[in-house]
Amino acid sequence: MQGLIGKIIAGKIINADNNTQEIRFKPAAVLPLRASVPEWLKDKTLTAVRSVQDARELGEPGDSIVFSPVEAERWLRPLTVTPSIIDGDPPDNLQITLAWWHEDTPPQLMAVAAGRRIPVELSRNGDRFTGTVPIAALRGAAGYPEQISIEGAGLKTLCAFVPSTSLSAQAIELPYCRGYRLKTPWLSLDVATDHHVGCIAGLTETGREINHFAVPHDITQIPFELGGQFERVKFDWNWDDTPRGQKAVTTGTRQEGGAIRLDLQGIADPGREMRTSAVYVAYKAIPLVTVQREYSIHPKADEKDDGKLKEPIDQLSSPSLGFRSATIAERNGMESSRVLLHTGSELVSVRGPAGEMQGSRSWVLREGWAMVEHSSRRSYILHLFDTDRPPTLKVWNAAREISVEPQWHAQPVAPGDSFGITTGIVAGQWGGASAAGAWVAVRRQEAGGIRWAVIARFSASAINRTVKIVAGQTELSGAFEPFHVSGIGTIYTASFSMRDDIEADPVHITVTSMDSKGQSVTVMESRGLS
Amino acid sequence: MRLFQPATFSTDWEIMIFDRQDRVVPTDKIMGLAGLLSREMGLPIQIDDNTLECAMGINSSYEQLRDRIIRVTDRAADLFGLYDLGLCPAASHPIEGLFNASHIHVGTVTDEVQAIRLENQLIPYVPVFAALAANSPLAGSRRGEYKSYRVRHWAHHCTFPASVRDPALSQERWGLDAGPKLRGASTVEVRITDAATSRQFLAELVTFVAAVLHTLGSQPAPPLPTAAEYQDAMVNRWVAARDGLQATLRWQGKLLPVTDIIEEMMDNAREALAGIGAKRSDLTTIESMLRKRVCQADFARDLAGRYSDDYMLASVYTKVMRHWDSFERFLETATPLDPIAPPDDEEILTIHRDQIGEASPLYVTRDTMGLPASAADALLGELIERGWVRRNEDPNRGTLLTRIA
Repeated sequence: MQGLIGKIIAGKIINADNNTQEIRFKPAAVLPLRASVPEWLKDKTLTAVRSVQDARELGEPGDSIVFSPVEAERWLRPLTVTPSIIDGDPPDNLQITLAWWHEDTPPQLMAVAAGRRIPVELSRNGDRFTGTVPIAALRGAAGYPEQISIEGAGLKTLCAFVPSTSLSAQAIELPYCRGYRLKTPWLSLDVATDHHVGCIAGLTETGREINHFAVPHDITQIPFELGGQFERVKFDWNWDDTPRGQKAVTTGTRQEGGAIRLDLQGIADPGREMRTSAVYVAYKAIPLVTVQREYSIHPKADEKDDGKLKEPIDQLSSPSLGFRSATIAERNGMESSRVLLHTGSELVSVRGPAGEMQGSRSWVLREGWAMVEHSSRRSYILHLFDTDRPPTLKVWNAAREISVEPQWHAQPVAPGDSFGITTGIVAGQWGGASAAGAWVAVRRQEAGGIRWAVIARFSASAINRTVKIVAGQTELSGAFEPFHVSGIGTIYTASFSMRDDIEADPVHITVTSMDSKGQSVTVMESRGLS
Repeated sequence: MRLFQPATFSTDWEIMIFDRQDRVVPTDKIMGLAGLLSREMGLPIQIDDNTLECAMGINSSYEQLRDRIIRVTDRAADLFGLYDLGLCPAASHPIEGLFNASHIHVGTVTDEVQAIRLENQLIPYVPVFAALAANSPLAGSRRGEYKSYRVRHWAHHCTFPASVRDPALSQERWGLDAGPKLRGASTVEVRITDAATSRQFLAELVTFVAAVLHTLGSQPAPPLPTAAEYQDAMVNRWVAARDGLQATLRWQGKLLPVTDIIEEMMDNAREALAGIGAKRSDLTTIESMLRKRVCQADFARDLAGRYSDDYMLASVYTKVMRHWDSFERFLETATPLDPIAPPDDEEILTIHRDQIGEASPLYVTRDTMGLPASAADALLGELIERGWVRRNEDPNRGTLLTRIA
């Protein structure tokens, strides 16, 4: 996902017939953001062999040379530990691999955990160094540590133990940066902390082990542009990209009220003295994640009075809030990815060809939801909003991704004021929508069978909300229960246990409700729009 | 009647500038160097939206233009090279969202009324110019569906199809594929042409286009295009964007390879070519391109076929493009290409259908090929009649189209 750009020092022809050269180069930056190279690459000279059709494609000394994420990985992430996340019984040993080092002998690395330090013995194995670490040697009296760090010579990588408890939060390494994994029986939520002052990097269903925000790993890409979700602010016409490289600090993780939460804080925009905090909450009972994002603009500490007469308007800012939630698009004509939304008066289905931005100021999400559907891979993502202050929506159909981009009205903000949003997200394998609401269903293994959850948002006029699930030969039905979520309002949940196999198919889900006049309304069947 | 007196011509060549980290250099950084270049060359060289816009002044001969193109770009390469910057002459880029042109100015025009009549006359010819100049097959992360994404997407509304204008009933318009520009110039400006990669090709292209306009400008204006001829021109414009020199155009009631049309235009412009000091045999690069049906976009597409990562491709692209003869080298060994059949009426229908998603705005039926409202509505009616598309009228959101089959 991250490429490497270097500057060519020299090229040596190896085979003139097919323009094969050995290139010596200095690493210059990490692509695509052109971030500084890691410490272990600074001032180092690397070599690579390239065959090209025309020698001009290689260039000359001083020119750039770019390596794809696949090529660059051994330089950018030379040290890896397998497994990097232990979820369940640990293996006897951790496998340590150093894919590249600038000297013939490997550096001295240590395995560090809970105050214990043991050396890692590495030996040459082809073009790399490998070694093992016995996990038992790092086990303390209280059991396995939260994490084992393999480190030394400026290198560091983590193996995280996800606790066997049903709710957990654990620092992990993500492809782009550091982050946290919040885990519930339903899902794993990966939150990156090195970009956007915190953003969603992954949301993986426990049952299918499918990450709804997954991205291709073999192309250079802007972090979270193709898959991920982050909040953003604009003060005029354009979204402010300042938070892209802004890091968050973690102020805590804790369990409370049947949920696990992660608190982040950081500076969203140093130039504006704009600070931000974010709280990510994942629930134990249902596959719901909420994000509460707050911003505040503060008077500049070093601002001097210029003696000019001030008017009240001089202190005012007009920020608009929004978020961008991107997932890889399916482009299958009539079956292409789409976004469903409800404006309060009608259901709208949005599907466009690549390159088309769709949106309308009248697409106000008054019913408090919008849903992304990728029908081929059966990914349904239901976004939830506050119905009292709903956003408008734009949908960007990019070459590779589709992004839902809600935007809240600009508001007047004076120094010292804060402003923010709370949003919710549910991802699952089945989904549906109609004028009466939208729902997502997901299933997972549990002791003795399968656990199902259906999360729905209904219009205010809907009553008698029920769901029927037919999976293989088994049929279940029941009523939805209201579940109040602070900042979002009331959603409805239904959950069932089924003595069955998780592969049971076909699955047919019917969600029904009555309107206030007592007439039956089918909200949505999983086979198609009603 | 001679519209162009004296016969002059020029080009504004928009060239991207990159540093050694493959970053496009922004306006504020290149403005000073552009000013220095302008002063040294005595030409109105400037910047335009992150590109160095090399305006080549007023030229009266092919040799003069060619010499200026070489002198300006040689000096520009030296000057920018002082700051480790490289010139990247291309109409688009694998990462940057820019579209760049080599606008062609043909003078000298002082009669706007006659120039508007020529504008109407040029409508069938601009797709031919677009096909010959096609050089934007990589745009953002999009690759190769069109040889000119710039023309397909109207250069972000900086070049769009002309309407048929009556000089008694129309206002000045900016941004047309080709039209009079008497503000700050005394020319008819052809804007549809993608920015060139090859200096030699650019000199030949500008000379060819100028000779065609000089020829047409010395002939009595034909009747205004009919609706059918106008629609054919719009379809041709789309075909030129997709197929470049492999295009087959609807031409005077027949289907003709665009290369044959260019051959014929060259023959017809022989006298005008001589008037600006050129012979057909001087246009050696164009001759080779016609023979192989290979345009500059094919060079970029070939490169893209070997680099799947956008950033790797961008790096290679900028390194290769700075060599002024890269395209000619490619052309020497390029495999000849075959003409591609143009879309028939049924395919035109499906092309339009495929641009419609759900809740797509009405204007997708206009933007796809630039068909005028009546033709686009007839086509939309057929899509609805066949049950492929549904049309919804929404007072808040306008007319929305949804593909249902």
